[in-house]
Amino acid sequence: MNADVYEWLRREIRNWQSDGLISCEQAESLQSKYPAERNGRPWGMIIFSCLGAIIVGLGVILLLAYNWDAIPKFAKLAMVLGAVAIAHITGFFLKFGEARYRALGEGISLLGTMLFGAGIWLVAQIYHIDEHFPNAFLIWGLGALGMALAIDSIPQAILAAVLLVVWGGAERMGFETPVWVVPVAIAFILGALAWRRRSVILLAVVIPASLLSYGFTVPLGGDSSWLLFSTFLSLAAVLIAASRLSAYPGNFAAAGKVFGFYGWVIFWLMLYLMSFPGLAHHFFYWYGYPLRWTHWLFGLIPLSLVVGLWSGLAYLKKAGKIRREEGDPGWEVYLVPLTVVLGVVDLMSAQSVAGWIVAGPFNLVYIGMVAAMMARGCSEGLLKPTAIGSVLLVILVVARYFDLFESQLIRGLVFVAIGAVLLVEGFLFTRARKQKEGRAVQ
Amino acid sequence: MRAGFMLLVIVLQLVVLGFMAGEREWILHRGQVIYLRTAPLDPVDPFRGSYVRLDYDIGHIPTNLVRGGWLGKTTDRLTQEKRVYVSLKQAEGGVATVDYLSEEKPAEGLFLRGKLDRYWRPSSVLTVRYGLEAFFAQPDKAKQMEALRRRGEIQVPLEMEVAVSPKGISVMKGFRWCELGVGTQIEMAAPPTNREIRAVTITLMNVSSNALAVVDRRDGGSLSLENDEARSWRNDEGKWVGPRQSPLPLTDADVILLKPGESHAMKVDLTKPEWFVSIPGGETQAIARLQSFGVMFRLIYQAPSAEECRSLEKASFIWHGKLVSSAFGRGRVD
Repeated sequence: MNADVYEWLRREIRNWQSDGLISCEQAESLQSKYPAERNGRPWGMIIFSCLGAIIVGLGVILLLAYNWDAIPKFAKLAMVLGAVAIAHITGFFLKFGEARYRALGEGISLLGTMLFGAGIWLVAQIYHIDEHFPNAFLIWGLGALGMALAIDSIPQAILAAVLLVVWGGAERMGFETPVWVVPVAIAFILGALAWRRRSVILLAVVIPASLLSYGFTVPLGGDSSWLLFSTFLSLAAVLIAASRLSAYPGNFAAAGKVFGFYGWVIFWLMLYLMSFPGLAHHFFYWYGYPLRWTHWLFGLIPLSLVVGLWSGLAYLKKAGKIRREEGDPGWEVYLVPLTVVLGVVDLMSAQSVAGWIVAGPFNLVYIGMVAAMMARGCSEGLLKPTAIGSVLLVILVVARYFDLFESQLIRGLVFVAIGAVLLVEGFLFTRARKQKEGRAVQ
Repeated sequence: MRAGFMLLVIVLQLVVLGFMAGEREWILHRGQVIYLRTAPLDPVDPFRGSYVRLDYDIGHIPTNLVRGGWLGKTTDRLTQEKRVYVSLKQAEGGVATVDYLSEEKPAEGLFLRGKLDRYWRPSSVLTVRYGLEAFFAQPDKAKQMEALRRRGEIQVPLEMEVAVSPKGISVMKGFRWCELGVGTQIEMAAPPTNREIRAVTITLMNVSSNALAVVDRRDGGSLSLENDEARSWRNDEGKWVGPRQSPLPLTDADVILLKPGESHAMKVDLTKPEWFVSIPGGETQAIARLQSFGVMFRLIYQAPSAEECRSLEKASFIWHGKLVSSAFGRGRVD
């Protein structure tokens, strides 16, 4: 069985399991018949050949940067063009040759793309070209993207994502030019590749790369910081919905953890910031500047995604197509779209309200979610929600210590109360854990 | 299918590199060769190594040389990265200077394609980049160039040899050093008014290997004073009252022969009315009396034309061209 077929089988077994066609034990039994050691992807070869390719490529760039006068111009050009051609052709024959050399072929092709980048800078150096420098990252990134699509290469796709983000960032920071095509290309082209290859690693790069490049395109300025903030709040909700939808049969189940990680990190960061009256007012107050069409676009696209995905999720849950697994968030997950709705309401009324009227509801949502996590962790004996909920509670209490309670007495009482809650939580968690272990033994 | 796609991408990568090099190589062989005056600095680029950053005289263009009314109709932000065409004329000494700047590509003549930096109103100078602003060199060579540029108090202008295609695309071919270097010394008033600039001395040094002559007109007419608008924050003051209305005719006594390494100094007393500059309200003042610290000036040595010098005894030695001093203002020299 070759690596691709083995990968397909692993995916299918996971899908059968999530569809409820086979039990966890049956899945493990099937997996054990085809051990990964002999048939899995040769990760050692992939990682070392790709790391080697990147380091050799960077070394070549630095060597060429020395600009050695003793080497004639045409010799330098011949060296770089020859090196690109040799690396790619070697990579080509290895990739499409014997199965055991395919991973090495992918690594050598990556070296070819690194050398292609080195070639762009070398030609610029030889002819003293000092034009619009982000173009070099664009051309290099397109070279990597083309190769990623040609051979479905995850390392080439990661390189393309990094280079395209650098391109978008350089255009935005250096020349105030937002490049819309970057987040779209990364999310849809590289995201599709990650989905097709069921690659968690590529997805883990694609999500922050598309978010970062999307951030580079949001119109900024004194009147638009609210837009960046509300956009990222909506995108966090989109990612959390996507993490739940990944569990739908036939989908990319392993992607759920990646979507969930980024979604929850951004969501909690946004919710925490909005719990401060000053910041919440700043984020939702748009100073009465006239809204441009870009504001509507940037506000409405993520918002419609929130509405679409969360409606779909609610429907699939109701229809029983998506089941809640152990460790998944409970009812409190619906506080996520509620937070987005609260944000929209605040945006629409920000001219007239301020202070705790804006931040208060976000504090309540924060406390509600934390309490639900802690309660679920304690009742089901799960460490992750219990620990994360406790840490988030302490973070909120410390923040409010400085801006809510002026009386030392009240501050002291609040700390005593929170300490007591954590002690009770510890007791309940230990009890639930023991009960769970007891059930497992039976 | 996948193999074909991969081969296509490989070919495209090679074609991109080949085109980048090939287009430049074609311009180097077929393009019109000109020289552009510049000042070098030596930074380092992480990808391309050591290079000499070049600040061209033609990179700073007064707005009165802009053709068409587009500049007044566009916002400051939209000027950034705007494609423009700079029409050039060949001056004496073989160095090209700006004729005019336009939004449209000129139908004929010598011109360069460039991009605008962001224009900040109400500045009266536009900054244009031509993609020629970096000269890459081995690190020791880059440092050597910087050393040759400054010979003690004397700064020697660098003249880049550039090949220009009919579309205005330019490729650097090489460089030469100007045969004359220029030094700038300022003289301050005694304390307590020690930030007041009283006089400037311009020293011209023959840095070539041949004998050269410079012209120092006895009426001071070899030098002119220019407001350095590219570095000044204000453009509502500091315009020079202008040259003498009726300059004295050139004589052999005005011609100074300089052997290699020799120099000649010309002192300008800025407290004299002929070196006064305008102030808001239409009056004139000595530079030392200007209210603003931001206004900077340069003295310009302009050799008379070959035609004007034809009857002079040492006419064949006279260097024809223009040299610009360092910028100076109230109490400082750059």
